[in-house]
Amino acid sequence: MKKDPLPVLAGVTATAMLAGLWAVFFWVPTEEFQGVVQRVFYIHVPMAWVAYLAFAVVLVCSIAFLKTNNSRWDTVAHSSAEVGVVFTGICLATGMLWAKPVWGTYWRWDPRLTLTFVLFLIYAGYLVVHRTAADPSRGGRLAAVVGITGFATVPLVHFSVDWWRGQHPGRTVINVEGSPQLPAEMLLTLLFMLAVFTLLYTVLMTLRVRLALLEQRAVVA
Amino acid sequence: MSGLAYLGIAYLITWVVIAAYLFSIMKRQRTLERRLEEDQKTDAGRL
Repeated sequence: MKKDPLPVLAGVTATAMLAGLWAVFFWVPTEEFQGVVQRVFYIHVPMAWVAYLAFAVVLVCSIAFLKTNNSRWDTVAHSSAEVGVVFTGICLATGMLWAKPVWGTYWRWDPRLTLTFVLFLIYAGYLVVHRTAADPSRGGRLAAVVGITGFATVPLVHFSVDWWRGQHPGRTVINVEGSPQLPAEMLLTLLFMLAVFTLLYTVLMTLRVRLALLEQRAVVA
Repeated sequence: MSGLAYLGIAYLITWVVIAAYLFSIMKRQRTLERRLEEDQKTDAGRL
């Protein structure tokens, strides 16, 4: 019998997460100007990265679903959209909590913030369309169109800090200067947390896809 | 509130949301598995 890799993956993710949190709180130096609150960076940025990844998966699977009409693609796209919405929501919440002590306000209608909020609404809309359609097959196809067109917002969110003037800081890892603008410890910790949250995305996706397949079995039964 | 308090709340929110999402998936999965098992038992009883 084939062994389920999920417990091992979940264990590796949990261990890596603990190591990452140790680095965030005990290894990385405190940022000079913002102080301790700058450590929100190590969850805020990975949340945005995983959301981009999740919505890229929605894009690819939605195209495959519309092309092949195989419902497995729709299942993966729907699961990824749900995880992406959760991560975008956390990204927005952690950003607001970081903004308050640094900017003096939780929210500004800055291009990056506004577009991230729009991204959240688009994929929340995807979930609503998918869930509420009277005909599930038609709902899946309609949601796939939302998933494909909605992805155009991702590059807008990412490059908004270069294209428009706002208060949100510019890109620090892959930026216009072509080299990271971070001290080595900060960059290493950020990259490690990016990997850890990508692992967490894989765990959540595996669980969510399994649940979706179970739901389909229950409907058939 | 100090920067430390905002940092604490940000990390707390992150873990609470992720844990809640994880538990909701697992709860829905367990409910469905139980329902499918019961359906299987009912089908076997009929036969």
